[in-house]
Amino acid sequence: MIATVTDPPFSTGLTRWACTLPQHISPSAAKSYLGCSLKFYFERVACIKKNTPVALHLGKAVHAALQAFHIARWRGGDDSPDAIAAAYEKSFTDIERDEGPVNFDDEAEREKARLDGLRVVAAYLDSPEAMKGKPRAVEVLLKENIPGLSVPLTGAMDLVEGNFTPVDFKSAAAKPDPGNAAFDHEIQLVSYQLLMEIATGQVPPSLDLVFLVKTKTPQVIRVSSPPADEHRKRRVVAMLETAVQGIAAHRYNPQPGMQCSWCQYKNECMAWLPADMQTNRRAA
Amino acid sequence: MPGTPPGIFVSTPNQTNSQPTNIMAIKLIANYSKRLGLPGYSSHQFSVSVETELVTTDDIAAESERLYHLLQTNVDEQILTTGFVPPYDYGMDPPEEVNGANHANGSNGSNNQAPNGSSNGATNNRSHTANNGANNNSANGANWQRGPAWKCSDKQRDLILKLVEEHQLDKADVEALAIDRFGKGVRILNKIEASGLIDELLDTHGNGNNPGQSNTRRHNGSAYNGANGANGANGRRAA
Repeated sequence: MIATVTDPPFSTGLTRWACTLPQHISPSAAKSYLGCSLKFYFERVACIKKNTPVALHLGKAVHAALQAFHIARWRGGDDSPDAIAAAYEKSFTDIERDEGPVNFDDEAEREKARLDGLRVVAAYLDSPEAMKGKPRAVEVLLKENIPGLSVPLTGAMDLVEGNFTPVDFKSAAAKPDPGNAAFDHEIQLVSYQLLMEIATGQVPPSLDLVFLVKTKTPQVIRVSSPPADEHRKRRVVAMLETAVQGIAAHRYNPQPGMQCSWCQYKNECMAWLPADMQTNRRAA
Repeated sequence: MPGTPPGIFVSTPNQTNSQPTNIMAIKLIANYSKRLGLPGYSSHQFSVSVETELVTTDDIAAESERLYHLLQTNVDEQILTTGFVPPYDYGMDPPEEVNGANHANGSNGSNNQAPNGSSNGATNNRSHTANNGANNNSANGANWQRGPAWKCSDKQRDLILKLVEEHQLDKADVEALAIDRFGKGVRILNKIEASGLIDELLDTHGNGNNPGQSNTRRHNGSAYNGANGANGANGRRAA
């Protein structure tokens, strides 16, 4: 079924906002745009609402639990497994209520997902990766002007450790390959470094991802990469700016690939035509 | 360049006597002065003067050149250190309120304002620590309008001051909280640390109607649909 929107997504080239710079760019938005600009449009410009995928819902609830744990560590609150499990349960329900519906097939799938998340949270708390000391910051959003970028860069870091290492948590279905993982998240990691350098004047000692793997026996795997050199920084800024210019010019078009297999916007994508062709079709 | 210009002065003995006399000494006085502008309509100035004697006037040119370079080099080296530079709001804030004076005078804890909503044990602990810190650091807490420039963003500074004002928080308590969490005072928190402080102040004192209240979840913003949302001061979570 094609979602109903006031301005059909295939008329994007003629919207009144064309050639207007976005307010800011975030690493996730840039990655989304560069991955498929049309999907970016459906999600973030037309804001076509879809059911939340189960994995995404689970990831958000786990993130919220970890956030509660780190804030408790930071402020000297209750960081016991029971308290964090309660935070997880609450988030699992609240997010479903506020941002749902979630694509659960039935109640059994919902229950399985809930327990999977609980196991992942418990695995983190038991792992050596669980923060023992005080974090420097938890769930912090930064916004900075970066040379070479037309708009401010924003980024929300899950955790900043005491030595200013930014950490991002990723829930994953399978064990990650460390080399690929850092490359896959290059825009995000280097963006965090750029933001950190301006916000604190310090180069972070490393850029870290902590994967929470939802295998039968959940695993917690940290992937560290060294701070970016000038070449990596310039490359990432160029990618971010490419996204900014594309959004400003309203360049949204299908980008077929294997990601289409699990894309939720196939129907909308099939309806897409360039703006001039759409105008002709309407006239006919 | 403003300020006293560099000068070379040569004085020789009066030769009113028609009888030929030997020149005893030629005094060469050199002065080099530099004044540089600083932020906030400030400036600083440094000058160095030396006095030397020459045997003959033939040495004046070479010695002047040598002294000029010598003095300039030394003045430049020293003037790099700016020392205290007043922040932009230096002297503009009203005098510190009585609370600070109370702390300095060692009034008992019952006079300190307890943070609102301190219902759980964690907050109570924090509040206790903050009060202790306030007593220990009353001078710091009472002097946000003096000292080093704020290191966080202007928006963060304004938000912290707004929270303090709106919720009638004791600056000394907030200062002590910053010291407890980050090991440093409010003014020298960087943007990341200030963000954490703001979040905690909002969590503790903010109410549900506060537009800046922290949110525990992120959402995809509408920064890309051309609408002018209000996303994104430093330290605030995405709307």
